[in-house]
Amino acid sequence: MLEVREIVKAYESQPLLRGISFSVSMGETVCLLGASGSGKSTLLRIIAGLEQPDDGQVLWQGEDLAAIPVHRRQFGLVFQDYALFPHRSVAENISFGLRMQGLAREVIQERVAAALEQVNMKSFAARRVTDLSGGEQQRVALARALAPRPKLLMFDEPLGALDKALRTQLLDELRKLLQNSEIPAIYVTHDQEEAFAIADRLVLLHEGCVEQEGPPPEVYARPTSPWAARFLGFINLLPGKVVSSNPLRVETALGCWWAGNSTMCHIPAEKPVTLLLKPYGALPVTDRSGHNLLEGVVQSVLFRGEGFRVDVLVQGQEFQFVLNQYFAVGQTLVLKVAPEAVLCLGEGN
Amino acid sequence: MRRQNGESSAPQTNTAAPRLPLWLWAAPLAFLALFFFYPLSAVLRLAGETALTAGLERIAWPRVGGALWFTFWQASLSTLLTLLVGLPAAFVLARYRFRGKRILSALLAIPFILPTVVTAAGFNALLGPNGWINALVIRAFDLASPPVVIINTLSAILLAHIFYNTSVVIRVVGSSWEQLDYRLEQAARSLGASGGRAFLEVTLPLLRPAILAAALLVFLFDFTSFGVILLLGGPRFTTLEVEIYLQTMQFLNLPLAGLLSMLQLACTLSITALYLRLNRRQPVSLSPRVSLGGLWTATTARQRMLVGGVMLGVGALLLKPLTALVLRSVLTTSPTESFGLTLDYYRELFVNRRQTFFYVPPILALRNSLIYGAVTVMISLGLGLLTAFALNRRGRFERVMEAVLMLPLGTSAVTLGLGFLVVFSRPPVDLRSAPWLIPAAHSLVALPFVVRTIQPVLTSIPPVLREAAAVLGASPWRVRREIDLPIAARAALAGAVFAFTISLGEFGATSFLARPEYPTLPVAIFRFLSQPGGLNYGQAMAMATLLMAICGLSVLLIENIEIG
Repeated sequence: MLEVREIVKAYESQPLLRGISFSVSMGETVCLLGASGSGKSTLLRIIAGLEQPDDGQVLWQGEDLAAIPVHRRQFGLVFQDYALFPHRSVAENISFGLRMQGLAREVIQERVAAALEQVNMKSFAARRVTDLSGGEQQRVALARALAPRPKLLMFDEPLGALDKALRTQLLDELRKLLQNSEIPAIYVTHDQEEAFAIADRLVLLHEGCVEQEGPPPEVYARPTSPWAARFLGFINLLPGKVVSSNPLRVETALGCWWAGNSTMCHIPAEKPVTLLLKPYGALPVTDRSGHNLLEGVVQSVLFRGEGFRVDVLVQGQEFQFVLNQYFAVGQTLVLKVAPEAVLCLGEGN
Repeated sequence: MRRQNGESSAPQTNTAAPRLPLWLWAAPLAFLALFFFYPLSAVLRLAGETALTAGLERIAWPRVGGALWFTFWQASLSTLLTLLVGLPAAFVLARYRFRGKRILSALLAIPFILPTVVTAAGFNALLGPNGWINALVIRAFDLASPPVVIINTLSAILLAHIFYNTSVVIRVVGSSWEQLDYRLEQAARSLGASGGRAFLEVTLPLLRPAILAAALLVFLFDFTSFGVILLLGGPRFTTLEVEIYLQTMQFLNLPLAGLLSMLQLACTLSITALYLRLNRRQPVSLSPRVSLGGLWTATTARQRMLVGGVMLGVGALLLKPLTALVLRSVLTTSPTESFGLTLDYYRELFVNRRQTFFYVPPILALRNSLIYGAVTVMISLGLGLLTAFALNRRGRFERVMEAVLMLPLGTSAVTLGLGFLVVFSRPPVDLRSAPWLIPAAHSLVALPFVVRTIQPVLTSIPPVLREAAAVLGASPWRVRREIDLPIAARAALAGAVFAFTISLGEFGATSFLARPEYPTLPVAIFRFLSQPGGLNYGQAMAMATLLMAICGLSVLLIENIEIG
């Protein structure tokens, strides 16, 4: 339905987006995930028509939207700080888009009531938006975007200003709402938990480019670059050089490693790579010979319910594993990481 | 960081509400050209011709020098005295919580909108030869002549200036003081500074810009003071403004008046420029806010005396002349009879007496003032809205215009009046058949205030609101109508009330332009006060009370409008 092709945008000659392409299909929720400053909000504004790209196209069902101004695109956008009209009531905010469509008064009333119902704000119709709490404002902003039945819904960090408990609750409601509707949606956030919860598909943005794309479980299981791995919260990264490609063996400063997985197709020997050691794949051993071994001193131990999170310092580098056994701080520990838990990523940085 | 780097960039790239067209400036510029620059250049030419053709030696230099000297002298003295009264009051209002504070704050708005003529009448009612104090003393001690002689002395001028400008000091310095973190002074105390030392070393340096700004503003107001000096100073005291008026209206010496005007303009523009430079980083809020955090309650006897003294002093300063005025307008005080209630003065306003200097019932002045006020509101609001929207284009041209728009603010009303007289009293326009000149002059005076009320509100509208409207389907034109206009409307209403009160009270320009049979309220009050006789005096009081009531209602209206 929506296709974004090679979008380029610079600000004051600083490149912000350097050729971004992705698409959103019917009923799908795509989440643009990236650090602040990665240009994801700007991308959203370009899709909405609030800004013009320097290069590239935004297509809706194959039609280039370049000539269509923002107010004719019929896309809904929920802003970061909601952007509710302070001089209008809750109902007047929600009816705004419907009035712009020139709908009849009865239709507008009906749809406003329905939208309020949808976000559980029925009794708030006559309230001033300036009297609402953050969560209530967010709901009104959502209702305002939904009421005109947009062809595409976009969210720009919609929960960023709310506290954690409220965020979880609203995220839940939002997911149900998006699942029950056929409206395709783009959701921009820097919070991976939020992204995992809501996305059918993730688009990872980094330095103005699409770094990785795919369903959340797949992206989490197989980050394709050290940056993606780090961004997703992995810290056990180990640079090395390929010794043989089949079976995959990698030589590192911490010995030789067998890797059960790779995100690359062809791996020539001598190629510099980065290994990702998954936190769940390690077992304490006593035998110090062989491969996939780490020997270090326990730095901290934290009980996490599903196990103990153990930080181990190995030759100056910190690693983090989840073990089902308690170790004392200061104790020396030898860990063997299963080859299936070792993922070979592209070039390290 | 909640916003990403690109988002806060130039508003010109905004497709939701693109830049407004340049032709928005057409009407405001045409108005300024016709009613400001044209008359002003005529006065300038007049002054230049005087200097060239008549020769410099034929100009009455002592008169010019005397007026200039006295203008500076009284303005400096007034400013100093105003600071002496205003600074302690600003301190008390900024730092203490006390009963009656809200009322006092509300009272402080009065001088901002009270016409000078009303103030002069008020002080006359209190201290004049026919005023309260003299009447009471005469009755009590059976004296032959009024014992208190203040009217027509420098003291009366200074008193009225203090009355006017104490509010300015309290507002400008007080708001700065309120925002000053009181813990800074506490930190200094904890480091071993005495109370006085902490004030001198911490508070005073931080307040200095505000005090300087307030002093300059007060100086400017005192420098251009016209009505107060004409009505309270009497014939002995002439400032530049009064001298311009006298040369024009009494001696018909337009060339000298022109020269004086240019002198005046040079002075006021310099002061204004200095003030704006100083004030660039210090926006002054128009409505005082009672903040609740960090306020003290007076506990020691000394603190109580300070707070009580300020309350009583400022309260009395603001209220005494006004109550005296109202009372004087409904009481008869002849030395032989007892005080009695009467509505005669009000009744007389409706009577057209042959022997008076009016050709019409005096109450018609009220009608004239209201009509002129309404027209002024229409002109200045229309132009003000256009100008505010145009200024928000924020281009290079707008930066120039921002400065140009301040020019009328720095030009005295008397100079404007003279300019109008010079330019428009000749064919093809005859002053006598051009009653629209008065609202035009009033609009010129009101325009900067209206613009300054509306424009900040427009600027403060977050661009994201316009974007939200655009995403919801509003065209650029519709965005202006649905977002900008309604939000600016409340400010526009406040601006309209401002313009209305300015027009009602305007005396300087009007005194040049009003035809005898079409007086405005201030002009009528001035005429009544310049005539002898108890009836005239009473009618002046009645009329000033009327004018005060209308202005008071306007203040109430403004205070109840939330801006933004």
